Amino acid sequence: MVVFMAISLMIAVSFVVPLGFLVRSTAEDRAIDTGRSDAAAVVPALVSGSTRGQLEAAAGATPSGQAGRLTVITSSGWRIGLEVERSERLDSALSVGLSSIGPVDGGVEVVTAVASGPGELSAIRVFIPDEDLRRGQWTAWAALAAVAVALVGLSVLVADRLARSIVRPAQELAAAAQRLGEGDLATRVEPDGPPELVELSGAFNKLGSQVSSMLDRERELVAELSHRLRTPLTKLRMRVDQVDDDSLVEELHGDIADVTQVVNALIAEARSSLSTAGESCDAALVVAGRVEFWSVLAEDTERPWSFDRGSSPLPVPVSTASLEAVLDVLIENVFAHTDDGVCFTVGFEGDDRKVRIWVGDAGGGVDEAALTRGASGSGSTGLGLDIARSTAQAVGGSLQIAKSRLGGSEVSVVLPRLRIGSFSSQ
Amino acid sequence: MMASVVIVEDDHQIRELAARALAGSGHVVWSEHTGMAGLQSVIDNSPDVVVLDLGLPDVDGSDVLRMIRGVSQVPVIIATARDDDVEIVRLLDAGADEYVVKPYSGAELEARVRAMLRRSAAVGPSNTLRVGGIAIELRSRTAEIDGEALVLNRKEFDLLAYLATRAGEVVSRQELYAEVWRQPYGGADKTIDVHVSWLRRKLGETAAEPRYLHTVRGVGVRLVDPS
Repeated sequence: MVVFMAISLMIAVSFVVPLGFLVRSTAEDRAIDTGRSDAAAVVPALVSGSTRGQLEAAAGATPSGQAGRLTVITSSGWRIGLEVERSERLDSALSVGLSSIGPVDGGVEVVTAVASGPGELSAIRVFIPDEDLRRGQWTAWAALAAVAVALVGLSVLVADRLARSIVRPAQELAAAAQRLGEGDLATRVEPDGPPELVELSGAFNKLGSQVSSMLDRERELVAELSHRLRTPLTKLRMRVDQVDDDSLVEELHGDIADVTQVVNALIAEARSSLSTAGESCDAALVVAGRVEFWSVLAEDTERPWSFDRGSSPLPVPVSTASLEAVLDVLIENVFAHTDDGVCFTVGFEGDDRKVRIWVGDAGGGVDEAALTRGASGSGSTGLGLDIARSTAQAVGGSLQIAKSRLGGSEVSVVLPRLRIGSFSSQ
Repeated sequence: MMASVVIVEDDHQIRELAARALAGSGHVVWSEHTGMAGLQSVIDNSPDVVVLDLGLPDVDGSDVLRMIRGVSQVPVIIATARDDDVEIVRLLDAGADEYVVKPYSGAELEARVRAMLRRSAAVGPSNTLRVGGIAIELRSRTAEIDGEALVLNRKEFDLLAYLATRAGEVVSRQELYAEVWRQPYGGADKTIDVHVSWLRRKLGETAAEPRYLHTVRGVGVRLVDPS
């Protein structure tokens, strides 16, 4: 912006200064022309042998004469108008008939030589004061200065707008690149700004799509290869049944189960990455849906429950299926770890940046130490919450455990909030 | 319960091992390695159950399934390496009656065949299970109570159908988890409970005053004819 300001200032100076000089010169020329024409108005009376009275009347009729600035002097010595100091110009006019213009104290004198009779020269001297020479100059200069200032201001404003139109898309692009670098492969930018930035944004979006589809292809390949592993594993399991040694069979079954578990985990991992990449859902809708789903069991087990609805919609960067699984874990924990009849509460709230979903109960509370360790094991609280925690952490969220206002424990999942309108197709 | 089984599997080792496992349990087994040969075997031998692998060298297993459905109502168990919901629903919609996910053992395959035969015996040739006013049409996966259609999701339908094949018996959570959810039972899982609650509500009854669906505390669930 400083550069724009300097450029516009230079442009303003380069045309305002010559224009200023031109204005001054024009004002001087105009004043001198007035003096000349006043002198010319007296010439006819002077050459026609008019009487002194007629000559005084002719001089008095001119603006310079009225202002007492017109003097007529003849070579014979008589004079009309105020007495003036004899200058070289006057002498030249009276002696050799030379008309001239030149500066004197406080202004300029216009001396016009006239042959007023046979062998007689006269001089008409018009004095033009400095104030007449500068008349209108200050007003014109002020107007020029105002125009220059307005021009600089306007150019600064235009420069600011122009800079914004370049800087904002560039900043958005930088932020999107940062998000992509942090692993948010769904991030895209709206092409905006100058053509180069629009082109760069398009290339960035293409890059993001290509990275996503490459990763998807890789995950699909991992899933496909893992699926194929299940056929030889089937063969292995069936072959083991043919072995006579029972203890060996047991060991082999254990080994096969381990390999199967690894294959299943690979498939699940690849599948979950595929299904969650770039997906989003409305947390408010999902929570309401899961509360309705579990409410029938609450009714059957005589558990009072409450649902604390926040504002909606609340878009979050998690697929519907993943968020449903998280909610199921949180609510199921209440049913699994508290007695029938114990009340619970589910709620959600969101601000501009994050969404918090919580499930609290009036039970005895969950062993937080075990949760922190991530204790797992089929059916234990730890395993389910581990899954919920990793779902939240995968998108930059978190899982927190605190004491519920109902007296038991409260598990909260905090997820980043997306901007409205960024729902993906599900 | 002895039965005749056609196995369609392209991997000759799995085919032989599966045939051996089923024959060892007293079943009569025909095994084929291509889809078209399998279809021919179904037409020629009219088996009680078909075990169909999906990855066949000549025709895709799903197409073989459709062709079998064109000529026979024989129960078909699909052997698949994929266990995601989309795939399972697609197979059930295409006319499969049951599925077994790889890697399965000979014992597991035999158990699925037995379950299939038990279900076939329960439904008879009509393919409809009846418990009191409840009628469950297995092929079209629809159910009704006292003539009114029941709107059930996939798990609710599977749960009701499984309980109906064992009508009057208390079915343990472990068994439901293994047979309906196809997962190892964790001991603290409330998924079954919430589905039972939904099913109960859709059947128009409550836990306090059950008619068809009874929860036996600490044991399991039982579907009974209230009359």
